[in-house]
Amino acid sequence: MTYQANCPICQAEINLASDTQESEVITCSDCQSRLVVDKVDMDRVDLSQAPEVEEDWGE
Amino acid sequence: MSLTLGLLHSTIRADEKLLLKAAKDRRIEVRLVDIRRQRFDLSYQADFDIALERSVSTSQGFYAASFLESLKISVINSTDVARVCQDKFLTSLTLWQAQVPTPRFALVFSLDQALEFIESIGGFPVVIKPTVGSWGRLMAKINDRQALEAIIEHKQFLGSVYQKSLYFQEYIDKPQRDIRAFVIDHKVIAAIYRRSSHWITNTARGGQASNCPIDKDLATICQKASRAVGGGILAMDVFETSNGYLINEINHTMEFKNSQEPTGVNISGAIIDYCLSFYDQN
Repeated sequence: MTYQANCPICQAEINLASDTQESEVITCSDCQSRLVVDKVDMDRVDLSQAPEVEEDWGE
Repeated sequence: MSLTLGLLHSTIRADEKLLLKAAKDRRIEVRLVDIRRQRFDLSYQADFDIALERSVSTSQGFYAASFLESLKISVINSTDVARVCQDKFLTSLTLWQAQVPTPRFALVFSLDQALEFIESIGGFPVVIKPTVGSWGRLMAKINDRQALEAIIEHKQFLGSVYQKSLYFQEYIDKPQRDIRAFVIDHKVIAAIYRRSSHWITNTARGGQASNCPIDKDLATICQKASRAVGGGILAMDVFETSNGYLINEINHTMEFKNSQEPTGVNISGAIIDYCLSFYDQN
């Protein structure tokens, strides 16, 4: 099953793969905003703008 | 007894998705533990046997791992390994103490001491890096005294507390590439060249990955470095010089998504296999 959601920044329709995970970071193909999957619930996915990179982020 | 693996994470990157797939392929149960949604206190009940630390935030991952270790839950990598690898100065010190070849380095807190170090290694250029950080952020190649003065002034006025500890490395003139070696349980399982016309070769900054053959010298220096910092699952940045290899940095929560295809090595599978073997042996 795939998911559909709208970009919270530009409202573009986004298709998400069936293995979409909560906390996954994706990029909106229209506006290139980095988004994070807040919730995967049955057939619904909630997206929000991903947090900015912090000073201690990385490997 | 079958393993239930706790995967400690914050944002889920492509790397974590590859790990989930590798665990699924091996029929290993995984508990996804978003550390930002946990309350690490005396009421905490863990529902996994061992943990694989994959937080994108170094400090949050370290605290989460420290908490779990206090409950006698093994974390890969351990906080002993993380403490050294998450700090570039401590990594350099540990490598130097173990006589693993590494670029000359210094940690100073002021301009005068920075100038003394630079003079001691034969002058500019020199590289300044934050002690904590990744993806090539906030690094600078400093070519002269004027640039040095400007960068130190900016760090001292605008930087966070981390930025006020000034970590310097001698500049190594690379052949437009360096090596990223993936080391698990003291053995190099794969390596890539990271090519770039820029002196920063991180793939996060556009460096192009291609397979790097693992020769005896590379295997040996990486094994020695792995033993020095405590082993586990490590990614080592290695410089090629006319006098042999130098270990530059060691990452303890490595990203590998750009390296599986060029090397043909299932790095995510090797990580999960290591977790399984660690659990069986402990």
